Amino acid sequence: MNEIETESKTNDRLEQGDVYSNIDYIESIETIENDIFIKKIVFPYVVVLSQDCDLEQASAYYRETEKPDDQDKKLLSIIVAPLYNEEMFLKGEHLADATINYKMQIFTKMKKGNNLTTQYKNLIDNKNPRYYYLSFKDKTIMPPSIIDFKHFFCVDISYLNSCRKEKFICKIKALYRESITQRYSHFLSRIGLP
Amino acid sequence: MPKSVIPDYSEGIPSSTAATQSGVPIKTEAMPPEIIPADELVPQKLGDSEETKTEVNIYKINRPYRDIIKAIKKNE
Repeated sequence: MNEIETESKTNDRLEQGDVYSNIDYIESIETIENDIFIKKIVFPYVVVLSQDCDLEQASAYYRETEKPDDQDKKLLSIIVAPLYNEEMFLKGEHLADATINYKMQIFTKMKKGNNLTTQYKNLIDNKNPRYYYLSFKDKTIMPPSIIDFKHFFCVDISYLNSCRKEKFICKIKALYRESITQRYSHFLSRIGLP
Repeated sequence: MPKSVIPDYSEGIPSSTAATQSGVPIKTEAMPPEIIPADELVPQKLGDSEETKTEVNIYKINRPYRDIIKAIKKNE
């Protein structure tokens, strides 16, 4: 298990591997008579998975000066994945809020003799392709967290740019963020077998 | 003088202790960090930064939740 190194300073643009807090995922917008109902899920922490050079090129459009003449490299949205708290994740309760109430897989951590189970070892050693286990070197920045590659969504880039400094938590260092996106793309491109 | 604590080795000597006693370093696998129960967690204050949020309540264990916002449609 490698510990994830982070940086607590943000650059002047969105970056791959950035961790942000309280990000909304809009489920639906429904109009009933004169009322509009916006249904959303608020994720406490998300990590940016979009390619970093795409983000770098797109950042040019949000500069004060020297903006590009066309919008060819401008992005509509960026991909993010929720970070689930390990403690809740192991109990299968990370989506068990009264408003969502998903029943998720339970992971047993210890077996008889105070040894770790193979299921848990595979999780923390990142041998289970569906999940990415993140143990942060600096425990005061983030508690151990898990990415479930089945869960990801897009966030509007202008929106995230506008509240970036307010919601920024930390930046996962390049080597580690590449490892995350490599495993994410591998999981996404797997052949669906019955 | 503090009371000495006698370790209980009834279930075998942990590998790290065995390494210390024999003087031969044994490479042990790093154990996962201890999970702190949610109700024992306290808010942590991070250092001030000009560019980032000055205070982050990182250990506020919260999970995703669904929210519904109601707005009134304006007919023009």
